[in-house]
Amino acid sequence: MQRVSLSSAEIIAGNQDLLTEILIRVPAKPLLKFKCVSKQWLSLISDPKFCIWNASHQRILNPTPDALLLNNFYSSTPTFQFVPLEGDGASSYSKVAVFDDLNVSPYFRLKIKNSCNGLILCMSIFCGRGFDDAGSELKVMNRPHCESLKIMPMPPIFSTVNRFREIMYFGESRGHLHSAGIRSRFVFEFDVWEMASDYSRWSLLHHVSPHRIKRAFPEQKFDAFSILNVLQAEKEEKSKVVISVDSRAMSLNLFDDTSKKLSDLAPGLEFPAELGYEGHDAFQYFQSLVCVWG
Amino acid sequence: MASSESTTTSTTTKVLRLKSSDNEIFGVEEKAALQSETIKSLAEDGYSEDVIPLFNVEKKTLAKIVEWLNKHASGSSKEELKRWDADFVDVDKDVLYDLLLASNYLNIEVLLHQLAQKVADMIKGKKPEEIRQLFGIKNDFTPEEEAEIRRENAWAFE
Repeated sequence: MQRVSLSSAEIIAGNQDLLTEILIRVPAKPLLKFKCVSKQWLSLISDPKFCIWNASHQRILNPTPDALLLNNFYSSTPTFQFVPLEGDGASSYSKVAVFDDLNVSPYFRLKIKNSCNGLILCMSIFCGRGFDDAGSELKVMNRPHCESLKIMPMPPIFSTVNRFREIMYFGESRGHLHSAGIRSRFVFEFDVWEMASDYSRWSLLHHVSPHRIKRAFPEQKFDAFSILNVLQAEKEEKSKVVISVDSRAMSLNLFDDTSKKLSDLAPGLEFPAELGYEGHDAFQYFQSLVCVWG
Repeated sequence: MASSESTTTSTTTKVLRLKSSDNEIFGVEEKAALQSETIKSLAEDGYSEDVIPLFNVEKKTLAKIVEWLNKHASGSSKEELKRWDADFVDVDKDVLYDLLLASNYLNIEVLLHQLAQKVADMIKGKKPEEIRQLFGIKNDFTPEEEAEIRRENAWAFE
């Protein structure tokens, strides 16, 4: 009897499809432990395709976040408190140690600006002598559900001749991670970068010069603008950037520099109108037949 | 494969005869049996008048599978099925493994997913050594390699 059952177990373990069916249903933390079961398990669990499957499956099984990261911006060293959303409430104060790996100097403060599919965009701000030294930004990659950190390279904001100084946009489209840098929101010129799928480097996708802008928006006057979204299309010539300018949402085709007005925007109530909306105010909306049950 | 051939025109309910690897024959109503894609294609291949041989499933496992097929063709309410399914997969690991292999061989997707979930729930709290034991897996890492993986993922072992 024991021998028969052992062989069933062995057949399952040797069947990659069955093993995958099982392991996509296991949460991330135990899976990290299971990497040392065998070489077969290590290679399956490390496969990027498997990771994506697992993440989407876990999101369906357990669509609520596991914890909140609470940023204490005023502490002298960067600290993020981990607030577990499940549990007995007995866990005492716990600091997320992973950010210690960043070795941020005590003169800097870290702030999470945005997050996207498990990636976190952090900004460090120099606090020693006020804010006049331009806040440099850095990107942090957080492997899904996992606290171990890997730092992605910075978008090359200071390496271009134009000295782009601010990351204005950070987001995903069709599985590609984009960021966009500007010189200032009052100078209508920007770069769009795309992250390599192994998170090793950014490559420049488009440099949108004032000349191109003029061609795209011949009659537009520009006070200030912001980038709401970078939309990768199936065909490269359809890729576009949605910008907010002059109380309007406009799309700019990155391939042929044509522009189109998408809609008027309601003016912001509390802010000067020229500031308008920013990328982190914009969320991608997809039509779906799936209902959200209360 | 995916198109469902309607048999509603026939007045009597057709019963398919399924034969286990150890030669036990189970009669199952066609509507219930065709939830298995494997049985469906065997039936379409002309086995339906005769017995359908299932070489990879023993009678004790096939009996459980037939029970599941019948229940899921009985028109039970969603809530009742959910309760029933929870009881159905609440078996010891050897039975669970046999059912998982049988549902894979018979290509009964819904059951396969339920069983895979049950195995996942069973293993997620286990240590790597226990996993190897559960599945008869040989540790093919050198001690150094294993230590390295444990170090890289140290926080998960806390």
